Amino acid sequence: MHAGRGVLRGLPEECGPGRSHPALQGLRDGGLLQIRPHALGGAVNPEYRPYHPKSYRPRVPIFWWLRQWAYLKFIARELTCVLVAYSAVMLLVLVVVVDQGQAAYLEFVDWLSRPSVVAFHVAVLLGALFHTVTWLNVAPMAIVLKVSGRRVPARAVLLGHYFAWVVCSAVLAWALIQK
Amino acid sequence: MAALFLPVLLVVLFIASPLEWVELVTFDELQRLVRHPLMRLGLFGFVFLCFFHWAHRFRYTLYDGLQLSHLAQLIAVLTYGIATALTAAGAYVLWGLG
Repeated sequence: MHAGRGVLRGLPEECGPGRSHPALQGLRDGGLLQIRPHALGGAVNPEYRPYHPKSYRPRVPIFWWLRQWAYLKFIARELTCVLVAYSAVMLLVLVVVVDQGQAAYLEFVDWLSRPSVVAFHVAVLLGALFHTVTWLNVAPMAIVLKVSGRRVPARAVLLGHYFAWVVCSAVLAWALIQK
Repeated sequence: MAALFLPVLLVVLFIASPLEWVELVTFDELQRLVRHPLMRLGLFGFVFLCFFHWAHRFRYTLYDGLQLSHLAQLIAVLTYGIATALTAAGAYVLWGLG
């Protein structure tokens, strides 16, 4: 091959994606080189893939994420999205109930105070905390902040996110809890 | 958004208040708060982000976790479809308040 990636005419090209094996490209030596079976009227191997698969993809078991703690943690973090959706639905339900009047609201609060519901919501809270902490911890890796051309240290980005979490929580609690 | 706001909302609204650990603002104040146009807009934005966050993460959890990448199109339609339906329901609820 030349420096400009050109290939001399008549020479087989390197075997690569979408191309065939060099032996198949040297068509002038049919008696000596590999010839496709169907060209000779023979049986075609059903397993045979012309031009080879484009990439090698090993089979991965469904429960691959049980093999290591880090994988399990990754999937657990991803699954906390279900708790996020549940909390959003519950928030909408609360808004509807408050809009309907005090009787509906008190009935809803009564349901919320049942031990089984409280236990479930404590579990949801633990999942939400896991969601928050893991997402805030990846923030420095996802966000690259630059001030005056210099990169803000990852630790500062992390602390900034935790500070924002504390401020948001304090403001919401202040707005919702009776003074 | 969900990471910043959800824990405190869960603690205050769904755990501490029903158990009477804290006392929420009066019912009238709470009702006025949820009916305020800015609050409704904010709530819509919040639930929209929550539902689409769920759709996006759950989609890739099914792809990678359960090795269902061959059902990519079906999963994308289902997850984003459900998120769109829930967001539309949320918009309908919030629009009709008051």
